[in-house]
Amino acid sequence: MEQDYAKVLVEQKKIGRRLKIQSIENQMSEEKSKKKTNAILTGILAAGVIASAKLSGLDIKQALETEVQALTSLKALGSYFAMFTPVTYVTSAYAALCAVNYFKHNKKYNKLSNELYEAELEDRLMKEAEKDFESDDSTQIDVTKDSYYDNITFDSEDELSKGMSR
Amino acid sequence: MFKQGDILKLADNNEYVVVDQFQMSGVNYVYLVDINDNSNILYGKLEGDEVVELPDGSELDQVIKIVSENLHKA
Repeated sequence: MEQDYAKVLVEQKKIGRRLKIQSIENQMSEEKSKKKTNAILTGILAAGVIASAKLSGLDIKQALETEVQALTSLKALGSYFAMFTPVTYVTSAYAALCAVNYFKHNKKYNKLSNELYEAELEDRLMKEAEKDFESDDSTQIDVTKDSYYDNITFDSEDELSKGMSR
Repeated sequence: MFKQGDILKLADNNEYVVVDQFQMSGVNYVYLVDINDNSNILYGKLEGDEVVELPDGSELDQVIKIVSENLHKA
């Protein structure tokens, strides 16, 4: 499946896109302006990576794919740039700056980040609950049906009738 | 012709920002990044009112190098 996709990519690259310009815009909304700034920063970063890949003799498609994957985390980005020695065009500080800006405005990242945060929070709460549960034996309740009813006691018939009417 | 920051809406209905552009041997080259999908990058040349993506080859290699130098000038 991956090989098929790679073939399609290679074919597309051979043909090359031919795209008519429909409009040119240089005044835009604040949101679009942010997207534009982000795209320029990513473009500057990617241009250095692409050139480095070319000069290092790496496969450019692989380099681009790695670049896109690298942008999903700063750690991955760091290890990716460590591949280029010496880094010809992009310093790691500059790359980090671009990545920070990329992360700041990238919705996809925010979504992933929120999901990750929620998963971590859930995991942490579960662990805390388990810890509390284990440390306090008195809170342990046998929730099997029979034992539940066995544990209910009434001091008088009056209370019993009240309990039954609830 | 274009300047950095111009947004071009192309026939694939995507909006690309001009990150770099230069002229070489009478040909206008552009380096574009999709503003909604930054992994969609396009090195192309202008032919009339069309942007033609550069295929793999020496021309693309040269353009990649020039763009990188333009963008990473000290």
